[in-house]
Amino acid sequence: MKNSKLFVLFLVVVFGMLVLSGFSSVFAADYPDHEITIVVPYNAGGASDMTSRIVATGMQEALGQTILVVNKPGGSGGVGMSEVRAAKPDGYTISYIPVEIVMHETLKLSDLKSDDFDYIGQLTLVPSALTVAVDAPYNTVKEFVDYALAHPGEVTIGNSGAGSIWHIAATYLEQVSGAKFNHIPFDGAAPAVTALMGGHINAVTVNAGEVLSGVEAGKLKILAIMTEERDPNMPDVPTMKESGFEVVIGGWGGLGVPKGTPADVMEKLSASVEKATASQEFKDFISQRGMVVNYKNSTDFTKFVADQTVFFSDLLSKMELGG
Amino acid sequence: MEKQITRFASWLKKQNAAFFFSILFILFSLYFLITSFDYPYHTKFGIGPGFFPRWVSILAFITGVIYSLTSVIREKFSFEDAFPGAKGIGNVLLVVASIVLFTVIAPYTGFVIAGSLMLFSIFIKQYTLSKSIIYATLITVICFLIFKKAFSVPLPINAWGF
Amino acid sequence: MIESLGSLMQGLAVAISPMNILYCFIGCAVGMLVGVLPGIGPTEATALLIPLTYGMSPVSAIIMLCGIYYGGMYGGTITSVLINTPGEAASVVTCLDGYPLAKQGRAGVALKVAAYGSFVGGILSIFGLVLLAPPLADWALKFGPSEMFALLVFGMCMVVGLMGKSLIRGLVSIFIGLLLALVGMDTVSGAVRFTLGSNQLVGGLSIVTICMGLFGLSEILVGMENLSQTNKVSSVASSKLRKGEWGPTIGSIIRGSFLGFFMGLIPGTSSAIPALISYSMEKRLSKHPEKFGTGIPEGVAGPETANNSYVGGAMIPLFTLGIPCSPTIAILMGAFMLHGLTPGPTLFIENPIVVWGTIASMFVGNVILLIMNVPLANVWAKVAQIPNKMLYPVVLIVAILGAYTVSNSMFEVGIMLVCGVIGYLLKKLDIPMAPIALVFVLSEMMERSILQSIKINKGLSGLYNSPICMTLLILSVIILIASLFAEYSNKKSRFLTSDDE
Repeated sequence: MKNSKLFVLFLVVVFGMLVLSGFSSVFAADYPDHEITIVVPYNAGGASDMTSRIVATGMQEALGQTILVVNKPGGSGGVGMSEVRAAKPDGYTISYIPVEIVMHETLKLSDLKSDDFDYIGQLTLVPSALTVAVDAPYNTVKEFVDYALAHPGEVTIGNSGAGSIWHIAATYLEQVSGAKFNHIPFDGAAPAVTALMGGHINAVTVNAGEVLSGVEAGKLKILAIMTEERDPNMPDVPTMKESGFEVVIGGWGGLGVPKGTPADVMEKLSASVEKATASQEFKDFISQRGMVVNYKNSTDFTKFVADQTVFFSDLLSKMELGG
Repeated sequence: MEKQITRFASWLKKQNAAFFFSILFILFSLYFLITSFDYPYHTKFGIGPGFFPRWVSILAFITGVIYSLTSVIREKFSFEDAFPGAKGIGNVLLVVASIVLFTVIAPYTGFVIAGSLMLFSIFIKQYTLSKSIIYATLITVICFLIFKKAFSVPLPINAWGF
Repeated sequence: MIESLGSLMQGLAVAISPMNILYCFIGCAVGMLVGVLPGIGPTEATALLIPLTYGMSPVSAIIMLCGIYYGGMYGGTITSVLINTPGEAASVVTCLDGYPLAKQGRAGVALKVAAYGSFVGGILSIFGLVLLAPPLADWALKFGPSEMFALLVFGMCMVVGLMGKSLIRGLVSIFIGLLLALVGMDTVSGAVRFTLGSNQLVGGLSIVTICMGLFGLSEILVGMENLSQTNKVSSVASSKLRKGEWGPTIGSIIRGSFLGFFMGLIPGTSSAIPALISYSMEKRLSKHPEKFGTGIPEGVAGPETANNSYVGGAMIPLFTLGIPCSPTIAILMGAFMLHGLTPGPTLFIENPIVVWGTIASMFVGNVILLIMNVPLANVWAKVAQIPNKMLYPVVLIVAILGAYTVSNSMFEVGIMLVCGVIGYLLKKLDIPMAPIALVFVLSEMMERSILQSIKINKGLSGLYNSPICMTLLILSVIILIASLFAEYSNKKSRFLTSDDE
């Protein structure tokens, strides 16, 4: 008796499930008609995560739909980005795209390629800065490099992980200057900066924003910033270029969707990103974190990514990345 | 045939469960040990990614061997002592199976239906049919509301949004 | 110092404005909720709620976020005690004595001593923060990779103290933890290891998933064996401490406060480390070490105090040097920046109201948590009275949700299931599980720090050139020898008794 009741119930449930899953939303409505997800391929609380969350609030206002921010960390961003690449190109799944996208192929981090995505727009530029302890015997990049040349392999430079953009920045300086450093990987920029403050390493080449509080605490000094021009937030800090070393390198972040997303959806997204990045909240936050607001629209960002892919593949193939 | 099964069951009951587990553990550490040779122990930049795993898995392997010896010499755990009778195992397997069912169907049916089904399959042995349905649905919906609505966790949903 | 106290009073005036008390209360309540729900920890909750704080004044926003942090720490304790499922690594140790207490119907006792301990630990460490901040921050910076490695070795030796009756079974458990931690991308070289070719394992296994499977799901599976029987629920015993339990409990709370505070100063540690060391220390100092693990209040009080006073300690590097010591503190730092404040020494000068308001609100937060939790302890204790046939399915679905939330994928639920089955087997074979979770947390830091140390010093010289390092390593060896000796002499006496029979 009980068994037959159960069996009937089971049939009803299975039938119900079929009905429910059969009717997927075939009624085309104006984009966006339900919530949108932004996948951040890094941990909650990091610079990329915070940037995405703030942009998401701005875009939410512009698009009139809820935007969820989801963290899928791992594999230098490979886990999260691979997932977005595999998603439906309907504009409802967006990925935060970090600079690492252009390196995945060359460094064999994953099978991601930079042309797996359609690019909505660029958000930020993250400059690298050469920073040392305040009592270090060198005050300029020149003195630092001379010291490193006199002590080959002894100057320790911390980065946020082997193959990270900051590791590449230090290696690039190595290549341009001819010095030989000892690269020490940490699990993020903050621990590297802490080790620098404790005198356990000699220098870091991480994002300028990560070292600002150390500079204010009178423990660190920035020797140079690796951008084209001086940062308006730190007008006293020279660029590497001024110091005579052609080292212009840095991270950046933007948004992308799976290849093949319809043009009208791209337009709407692009417009919302432009609006979000123009807000005062966004600008304040980004400069507080030592980054630069650098909005590029879809076309310019796509071109920029293509250029960066060429630049980094070229650079990386010439480098021997020390572990 | 049936006789053979009963004989096998009674044979199994007498076996040393700890010894079987120690063999599993040794195989587990061997996998790590063998795979660790795929990663360089030394690179020209210093110690490679193979260094730490190699030492840990060697020590794990040794521990496994000692464990298997002690499990034979003293501290025997026969399956009979460690595991309950057929009915208990049945309940355990029911839970495992219901979780497997949940993970398989949730992406298609959405969280609420899959979750209710999972709870229902456990409740039905303890409560009446109507109570089981009510409890299962109610608990699932409450969890759904907390995680999905309050904390914006992107739970799998169906076309109707649950 | 007098100056600091004066500023603190000013800050207190800000913190006890009705609006700020309300925000602090909301923060603590949300924190407790997320602490009870697995998967969503204080880290995720603070990250999620930061956008909500846009419209608030900076002080209110930060007060609320700090409240979440505190509440979350306490919420993790509740699940450890009631259902033997730690929501985070810091609460693993709490299970050891908290759950046995709950089984005896004394969940109220466990939760109350945890609340008192957290309160005392929180308050003492805030005093430490007010009075001693700058010199201590400099001392803490001396912990580089070599010192970190020595500290972790010390921690691992402490884990040995957590093992059950047999050293070998404890070692099996330690190695399961060490091996599992190897899975995923190596943070040092970037090499991807032991993933069986799976893309989803590249990021490694998650401690939350592992805890949920090993502790939570395995408990459910064991419970399901005889679910049909009417379960013997022990009635709620008095939530008061018994005579003779007061002394050791108070002692463990005071020791835990100091321990947690100093551990908090050290960058790169996690709150699991002070909890673990506190438990081992209490066991070693106790007159009746054999009772640890059977449900005694000081086994809950010490670790709970330590992981709470850790928070106060961890604020020092943030406020004085702008260094975030733990992931949650890193998010708090993000919140400061979002409101235009850069943590660091200049913050004290430029925005004293914010700094002292935040510090004062920690006092308020601790008081609120105490007021909320002492009466609530009895309510929570009743949860343990829910019949298992209702409780287990509820825990099951919440655990599944928790695992799913870790990386928002069903894959994680699968991993939890596997861990649950493994945990079930381990329970049957009397292999302790706490070491797996603790070692898992320590292992990754340990590998990284030893490789960094070797690379910086081009050899092992970093380990013997540092006095801090040497002290810690020598202490580790002493502890290890002592526990081996204890095991050996225990065995001997056990054999003797079995001969007598």
